[in-house]
Amino acid sequence: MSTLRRVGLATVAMLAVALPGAFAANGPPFQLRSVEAQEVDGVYLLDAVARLRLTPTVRHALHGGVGLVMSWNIEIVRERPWWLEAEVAELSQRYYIEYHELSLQYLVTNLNTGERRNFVDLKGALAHIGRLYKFPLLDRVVIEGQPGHRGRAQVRLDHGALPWALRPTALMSSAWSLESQWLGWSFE
Amino acid sequence: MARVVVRVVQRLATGVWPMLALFVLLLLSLYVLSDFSVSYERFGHLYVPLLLLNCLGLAFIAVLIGVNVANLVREFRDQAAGARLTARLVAMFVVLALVPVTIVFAFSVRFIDSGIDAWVNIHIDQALEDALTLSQDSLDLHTRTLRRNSERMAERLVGLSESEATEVLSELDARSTASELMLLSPEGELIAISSGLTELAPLRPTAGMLMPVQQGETHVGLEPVRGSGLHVRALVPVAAPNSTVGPRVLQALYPIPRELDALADAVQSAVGQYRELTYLREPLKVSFIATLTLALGLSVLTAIWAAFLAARRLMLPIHNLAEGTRSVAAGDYTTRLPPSGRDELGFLVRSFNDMTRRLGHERDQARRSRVEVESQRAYLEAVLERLSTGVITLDGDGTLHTSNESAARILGVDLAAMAGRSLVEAAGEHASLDQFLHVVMPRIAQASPEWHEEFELPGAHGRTIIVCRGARLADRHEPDAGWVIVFDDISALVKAQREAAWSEVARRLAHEIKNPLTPIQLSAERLRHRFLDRLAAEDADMLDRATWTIVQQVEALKTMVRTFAEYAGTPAANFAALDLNGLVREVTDLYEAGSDRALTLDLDPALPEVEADRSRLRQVLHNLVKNALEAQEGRDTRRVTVSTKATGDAARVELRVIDAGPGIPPDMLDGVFEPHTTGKARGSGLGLAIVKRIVEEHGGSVVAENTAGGGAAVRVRLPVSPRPARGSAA
Repeated sequence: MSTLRRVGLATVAMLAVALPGAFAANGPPFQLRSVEAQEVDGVYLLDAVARLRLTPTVRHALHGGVGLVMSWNIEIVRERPWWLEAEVAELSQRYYIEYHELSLQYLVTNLNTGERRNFVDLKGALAHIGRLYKFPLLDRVVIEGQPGHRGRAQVRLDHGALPWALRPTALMSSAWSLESQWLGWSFE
Repeated sequence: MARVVVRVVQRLATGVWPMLALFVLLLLSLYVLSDFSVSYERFGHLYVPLLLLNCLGLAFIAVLIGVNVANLVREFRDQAAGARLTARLVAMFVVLALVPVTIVFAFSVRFIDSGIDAWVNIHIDQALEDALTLSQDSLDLHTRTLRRNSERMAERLVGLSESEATEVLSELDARSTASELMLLSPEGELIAISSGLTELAPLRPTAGMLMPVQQGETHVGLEPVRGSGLHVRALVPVAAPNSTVGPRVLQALYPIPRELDALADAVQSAVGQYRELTYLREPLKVSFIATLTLALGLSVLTAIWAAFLAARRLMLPIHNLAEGTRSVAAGDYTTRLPPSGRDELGFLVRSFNDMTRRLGHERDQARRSRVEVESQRAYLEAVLERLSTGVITLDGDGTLHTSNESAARILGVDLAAMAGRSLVEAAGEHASLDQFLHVVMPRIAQASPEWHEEFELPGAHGRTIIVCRGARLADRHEPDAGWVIVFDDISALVKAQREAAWSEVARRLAHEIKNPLTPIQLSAERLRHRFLDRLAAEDADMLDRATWTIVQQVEALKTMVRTFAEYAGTPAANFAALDLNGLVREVTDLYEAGSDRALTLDLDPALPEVEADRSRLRQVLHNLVKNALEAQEGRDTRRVTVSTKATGDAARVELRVIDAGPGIPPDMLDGVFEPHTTGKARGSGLGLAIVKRIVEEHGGSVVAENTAGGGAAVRVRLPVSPRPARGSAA
């Protein structure tokens, strides 16, 4: 790549504003399909399913040795009349995915528990990350008797965990803007 | 609103502190951006806003520069003082700032490019690729061996129940190098496990791994197990006792030998890091160059803006000086420039202020002097204009510089129109001027300091006698500044002297001649009385004729003596408003009786009254009519026309007496009013002299001229009476 072209690319990258609809043709790369909280033995457990798909740029980075962190962000808030909602709890479930070139497999590590799973294909790895199964949220007693509690979840690629050289590009490029919509549920 | 915005932008475009604050802000944000690896946690979410802030800041500075450029272009068009120099300074500063920054930028980009590229080496890439391939081949070989072992173990599990399978698995586990043996249902549920398994949570295959096994194929793959290094997972189909369900699955996990695992791990780690480095090479360059470009943009734009500021600051005293010089050139010496520091420009400004102060003082002084000179000049001109003496100044070539009205009047030439012209050239158009210069120029040519001349000039009303004095004008600065010539018409004086002389002559003649006339007349009458009767007839006749002649001639002499006496001694005049037409009729009536009705009157009925002595004016009329009739003696028909009219300006009354005689000889025309000038055989020559004297006593003028028909005409002009007219008696 010539210097001139690189300077041009840098300028364009600086001035470009991420276009959210860049991948509208195939739907958003990260899409939260369902969230559901159930109380089991006095504890609210979350089941959530998200369809995760990497853009070619991100997939190329993953195969290029760049490890990615996918993070489930879960917020539990209490709505207040005539006032901003109060934050009750903020939880996250983070996965680290990397490509193991020697074994030609994708390694997914649950950063909360340290558990690691291997996948022969990316689809399986992303499906694993995109499913939360009985993820403990909070004890029922915490919100019991207080109406108006709501929860919402989102899954996204954590830019902060990227190599620092990639962060500016990731922040400005729509190809790196991988985050699902927020999907909520009610505790009632 | 728009005006406020424009004013704010203009203020920002030329103000230092807002620009400095903006520059510091942008510099800080740029620092944060450049140190993004460290500051990401704190400012990561601000990256895009900071980037936008930088871009907007740079765009804003570009706008301010645009405002400065527009201002400069406007000043250029208006040809404002210092605009060109400001443009030149700005261009110089911009070039000075732009060239090194651009060079540094170009080299920096090149260094970044080559420096980051140096991280990646094709040989290393190839070596790592080879090492990876070698490792994969080595592991593949190992894996194939383990595959065969696993398939042999699977054959022993065919058709076994769960309890049997557990026993066999334990047996196989003891004899194999597998760290874990499991028999799984087609769905991946655990059926049996070797008794030597120590892991609490065995590594179960994923659905993707099970899929080929369910098709009857063996799956063997390498798997990095957390904390245990690399393992080989083998999934082998095992025929189930019940043929209606799918095959069971034997999963065997084999740890890779420690030496091989360490080597493979090292290769994987090196390849991973190198791959990441290779991948990050371009984003790294883009990131560095983007930051560098922002820094360059900030530097260049700030430098251009600073160039404008510096040029304006530097040019302000020069601009003020140029404006001040323009004001001084336009004559405004009150211009004072604001002080401008203690440097050389400040010294220049102070010097300029001193200069304008002095110039103003000198200008005021000069103005006062000029006013004084003008006043003196006006005074002198007023004096000159009121002088009856003619004054002109000439240079050596005869070029007229100044003249007064009296000079023009005496010479009969409009000298004011000839100022700056050579009088010698204009002399051909004016006979009197030609004559004047004919006398004057030779004296100028002689260059004597002073000279005096008396000469005659031809005029419309006869010759005038001029007394002329010339003196050289000279001063310290101009030795030959010309000549001042003072001249006067002394014709009246000469005439007055001549008339006085004639009066004296007449008085003496009257006195001397009158005294013997009576005795002569008495003696002649006595002789006639005594001897006329005694003498013979012939002698008596001779005596009679002789004495008669003596008496007649004595009478004639007495008449002459009386005329002389009238000329010499005139009693005081008694002026009163007079109807000239009435007087004309009164006088001409006397001539009507005895004449052959030769008189014709042409009287203006609206003639105003004149202020005159009736008896003297009657004498004037008598003399003129008598002269006119006598001029036609001997002719068959005599004709005299007496006319009156008011002049064009109604200030005078004109009386004309015209005869049809032979006219006045040209050589007598100039001196016809001189005493003792006559064209008649008999006559004292005092008639017209008396007319002239009386007319001049009345403030009038008299002119004699020949008419086109051959006769003579005398024109008398008398001033109109200042008292209101009482109406004409006509």
